[in-house]
Amino acid sequence: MTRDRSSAISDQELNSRLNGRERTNELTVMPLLGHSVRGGAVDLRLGPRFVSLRRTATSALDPISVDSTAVARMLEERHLALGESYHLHPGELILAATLEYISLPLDLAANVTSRSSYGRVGLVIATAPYVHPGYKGCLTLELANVGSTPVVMYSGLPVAQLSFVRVHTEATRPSRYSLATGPLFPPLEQDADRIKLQRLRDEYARSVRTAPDALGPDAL
Amino acid sequence: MTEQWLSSQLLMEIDRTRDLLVSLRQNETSATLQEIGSLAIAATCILNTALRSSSKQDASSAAFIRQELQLVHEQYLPVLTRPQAIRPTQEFAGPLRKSVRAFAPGVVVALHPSSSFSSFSSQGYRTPMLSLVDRLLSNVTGLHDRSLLLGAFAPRLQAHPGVAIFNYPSTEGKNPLALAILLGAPVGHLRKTFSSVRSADAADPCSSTSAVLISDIFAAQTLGPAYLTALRWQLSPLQVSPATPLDPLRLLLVHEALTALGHPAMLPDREHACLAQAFSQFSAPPDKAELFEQASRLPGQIFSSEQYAKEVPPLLQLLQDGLPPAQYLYSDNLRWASVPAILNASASFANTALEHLGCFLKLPEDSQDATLYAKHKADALVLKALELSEFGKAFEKGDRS
Repeated sequence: MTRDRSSAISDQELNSRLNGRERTNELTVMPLLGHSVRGGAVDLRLGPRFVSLRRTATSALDPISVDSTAVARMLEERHLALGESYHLHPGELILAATLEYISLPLDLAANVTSRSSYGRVGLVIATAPYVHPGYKGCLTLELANVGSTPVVMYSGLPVAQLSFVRVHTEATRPSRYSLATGPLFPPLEQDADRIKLQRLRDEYARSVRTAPDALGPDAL
Repeated sequence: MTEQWLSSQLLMEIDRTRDLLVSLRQNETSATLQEIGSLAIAATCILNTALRSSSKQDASSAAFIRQELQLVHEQYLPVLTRPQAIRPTQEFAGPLRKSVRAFAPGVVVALHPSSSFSSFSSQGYRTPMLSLVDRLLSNVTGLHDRSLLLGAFAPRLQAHPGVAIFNYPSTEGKNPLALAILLGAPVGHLRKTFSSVRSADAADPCSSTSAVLISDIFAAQTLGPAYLTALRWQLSPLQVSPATPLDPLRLLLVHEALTALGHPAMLPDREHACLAQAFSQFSAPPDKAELFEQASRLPGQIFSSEQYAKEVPPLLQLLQDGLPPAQYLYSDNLRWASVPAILNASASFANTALEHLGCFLKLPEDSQDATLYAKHKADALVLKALELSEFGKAFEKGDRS
């Protein structure tokens, strides 16, 4: 697959691809509500489901030796009814999902970015913005309030936008987040490099335990 | 049991109710809790009246009132101030609310996923509870004149129309068929209780059995073949027992209601024969024509075979392509799918086309785990479609207004 970031698609092409008769195996953003398409991008709304992280007795989240029970204790799922609100406090992070379910064809990738009007009140939307060609599902948004005032969130709030770039790819494997319909906490335990990193960590710990003098007097 | 003891028991209950009221007022965070507070006031009124007319007090009424107050403590409050452990499926709430408000405007609908080992039986889907006022009204008529009671409670019922709590097995919370079941007999039960309690006339003459059968026929007519799929899944037709002749009768009537609307026969011959044999054990079969007649009087939109042919195939195609079956193209316009169409697409997909999704997800063929995984994904897409359809319709309604 090659990416050509300069070839963003135009408003006209975007409209024509989104509103074509054939909705399947093409570019789909469901639903398209109100004036969702502007400036070559599609507005993304906050969906009703999100996951917040509770403070627990767990001392730290170690991505290479994940205690899934401890993680489950930390996560709290919520579902906002229509019109219900949630106050995102300064310093708080939640995982939310887009209301929109998207399906990208193999010739398009996408980027999720904050809408500037929300960024200006301290809301940071996504820290992993690239969406692969061929992806189908809702997008998980990492919402953080980096401002100093709580921000009130509602389901349906157009907090982000999705822009598209042309790519050349032949086939993709479905990602582990394929067909997601709500926010997903990452399955850290499935990371391919986890075992290697664990081995390096264990070796380091052994070396420090068995030969502290080798590190010199400053090590103590 | 002496009258003195009874009075002391009732006084104790009044004190408990007041305590409850105080605790509710202190922790009041939502309109629903306010309503519970109001219901507790109603309970106190009843108890006070019962105390004054001491000649009519008896042990059973005291036991009943105590039981009702216990219900507030043990069931209503935990449901309404729900712990996070078991979360209800919010996607079920919209369709259930719409269905309940057709006959009970303003009633608050709450969902209660209960722990149940028998997710496939009727046990998990208990009759919906109505509000405390309704339960009191339906049980204290021996003590009071019905029309007087209704008159006394009318302003309160208008301000707080009540809460209907639907129970379902928590293990089926992500299964769209559970919604079809809830929209059937449980809503029918509620309709019967509601009409018999809130009506000043004589109580609804229809029995509980008839209420179930009428609501089954009505659900088949308004939900289409998806209701039969749900009922077959719940009642296991090949395991029907002569001890429970109601189950085969329910399935046979639903089948009959669907074929009358032109839907293709969905009961295999072997199942049909098995059900007919079990039904023959029924000692006093109800009058079918009367049941169909009563079902036809209920307000609701029939899901005809023509609508099925128009709406379901495009939704099925969306599911096959890994998309939520929420919208379909009709005469060059995108339309929001109706709840019956979504449920029928889901039922049909699970029966016939699950392998398409498995193929998209590159799951191994002929593996039970892969099939279950594909079913889990398909169910999630269907719930997403229910969510999108409800949101989209509400959003567009806001646009128009």
